[in-house]
Amino acid sequence: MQTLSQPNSVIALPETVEQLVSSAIALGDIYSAAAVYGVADQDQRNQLEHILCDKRRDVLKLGRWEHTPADVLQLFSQIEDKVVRIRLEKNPSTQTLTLNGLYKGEHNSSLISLIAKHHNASPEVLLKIADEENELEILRSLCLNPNSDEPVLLLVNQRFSSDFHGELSSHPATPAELLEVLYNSDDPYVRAAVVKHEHCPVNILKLAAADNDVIIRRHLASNKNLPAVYVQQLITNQDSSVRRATVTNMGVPVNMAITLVNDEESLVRRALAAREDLTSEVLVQLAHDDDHWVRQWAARNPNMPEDELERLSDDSNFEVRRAVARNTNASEQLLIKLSTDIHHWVRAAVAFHPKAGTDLLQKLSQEEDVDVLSGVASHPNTHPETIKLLSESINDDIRRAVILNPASSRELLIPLLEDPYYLHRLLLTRNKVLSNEDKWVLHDDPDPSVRFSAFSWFAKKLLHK
Amino acid sequence: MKILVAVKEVASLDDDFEIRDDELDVDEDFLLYDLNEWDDFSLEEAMSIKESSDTDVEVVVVSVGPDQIEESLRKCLAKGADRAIRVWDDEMEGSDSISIGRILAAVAAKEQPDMIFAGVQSSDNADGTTGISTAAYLNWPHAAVVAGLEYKAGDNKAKITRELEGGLSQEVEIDCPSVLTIQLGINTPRYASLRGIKQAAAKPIDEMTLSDLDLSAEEVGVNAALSHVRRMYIPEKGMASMINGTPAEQAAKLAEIIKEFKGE
Repeated sequence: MQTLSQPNSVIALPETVEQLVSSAIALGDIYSAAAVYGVADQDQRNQLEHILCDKRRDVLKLGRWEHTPADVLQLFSQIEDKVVRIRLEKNPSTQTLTLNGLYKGEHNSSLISLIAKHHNASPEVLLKIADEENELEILRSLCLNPNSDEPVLLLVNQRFSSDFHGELSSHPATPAELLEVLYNSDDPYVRAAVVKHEHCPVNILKLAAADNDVIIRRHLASNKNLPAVYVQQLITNQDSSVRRATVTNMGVPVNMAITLVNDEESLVRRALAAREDLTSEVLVQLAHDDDHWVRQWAARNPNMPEDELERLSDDSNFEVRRAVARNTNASEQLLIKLSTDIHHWVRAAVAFHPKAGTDLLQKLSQEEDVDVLSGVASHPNTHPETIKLLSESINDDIRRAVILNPASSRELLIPLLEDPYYLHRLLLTRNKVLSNEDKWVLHDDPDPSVRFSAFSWFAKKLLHK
Repeated sequence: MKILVAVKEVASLDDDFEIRDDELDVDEDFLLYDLNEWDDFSLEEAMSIKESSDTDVEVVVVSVGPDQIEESLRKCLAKGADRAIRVWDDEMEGSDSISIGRILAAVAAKEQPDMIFAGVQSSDNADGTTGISTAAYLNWPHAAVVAGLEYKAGDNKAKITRELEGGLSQEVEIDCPSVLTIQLGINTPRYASLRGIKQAAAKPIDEMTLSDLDLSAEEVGVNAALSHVRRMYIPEKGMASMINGTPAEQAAKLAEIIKEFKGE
């Protein structure tokens, strides 16, 4: 029977970027190497490249990882490997320059389609694709890419006039003159999208206002630049979806929106109650609504008068009471009252409220509910001794709340550097209270994402030293 | 008292994978390895028996495979297993799950455990037979898909709850020693502590070979396997169509499809 063992290594805290990169090279770990590649000098880069590109499976792994830095992805783009190319073209972190290079040598239509979809593809490359490609799915990808600009969209329309009306009418960069053309479509959905579009010309809005089609009217009501002259007509429309769209549109003046405070449809009243610009008088009216969703939205609004909040804190629906506990203007007295609510979600909202005081939080810390305790653990007003106790909780959410609490001290966080949950250690790599020495223990963490995060943090810190 | 926990390092597929040229498996470059999910639960069950016992309980993890599986064994050590055994011999290459059961039974004959736990199945091959074939080779009682266990170290019987089809549960009393295949959700597996992980990196892993187990080359490996992979391939995909158009048009079409399915 043979016995195996693995040695441990100790690397000193780096004080310069060069030392940091040397540490990553000494570890020979792809994640640490990827984190420092961007700050390394040419000699060190060569050594890092050896670590990063040595094994194909490592290149494939980092090629698809969404956190891989752009310059490492650029390095991988030099490798002649179709599967690596697919991963780079799919990776949201791949930057414009890399995509430009990949497109130059790309002949495979499915890979060109990936570039056409990529949100970092440059308008120049997208224009070239619009000019040279004939496959409808590639061109559809262009029409859905937010980076496609006016020339790209006009060229697609010019080459394939009827295939992409739906996509073109919804793209934010579509110019007014193209929208005007698209409004002649027989498809009501295309015309509706034109009417909703921010660039929709006024003459089209006028035509739409005279249209009786509900889809057109609903989209007209959603237009952010809706002229006041059409609001009255839409707000009294027979169809509730049109009235709802009107009241949801924040471009519609509040004094017109509130005329729907007694609308027969609860969906319309809910949409009104969700507006942040409502006056106290309207909120009081909504606070008496039969529909609890309406009352819940209203109870969240900071303009709700205190006496009305007090009344809503006795509401039969716990979601309404929770909304009161989340209201930024809820008084400390009201929070004390709600801290004894029968529903734990209401008490949790109190624990998370910025106005919750130390005594109240101390009382809530005696609870067993995880949501309540998470609120207490994350609150800057919680007494340090209480936070210390909570930092030893067996519950991940509660310990995470301690880590996220801006008032948590260094002494309290140091034991959490050994937290069993990797995400907690990862969060601590970015903590402002811990010292460099404290954080360096994470450089050889068993979890790759923690090592990456630790080396990335030190790279940024030492670069700006 | 000793509990033997059989674990496996399983392969999961990376994106855009490729099949090997011989069409018998996925190209190694596209496989990611980790401890089988079911085995986390088996180990946790063994650990909770150990931790709640007044007498000494040794938890020993065992796995059959080459060097690379040591990482998974170390994860088990980091979670508190007392010992880890890696069983390998080049002759074992190509063993099917029944042969693995034979190998594990031979390990059990050497280790003399009081209970054996295994996962219901492995996430890569999903045979669901390793634990049960181990019991068969040992001629021990066994129970599959165990979703609840009442057992204290030293008991000669265990009360188990098995998960059956259709949401049914079945309570069974079983003589010990026995082999139980543990189902997901029976407990909440712990994370390995950082200290545990670092200590596990330095802990020895015992190795056993064919000769240590008194097995012959003919009893394991590809020639002893009762089933052989003929081909691995990606079947043709079924029909799917994209819903294009404006967002409102897409929503309307989707609503139509839902209504059609509901028969409205």
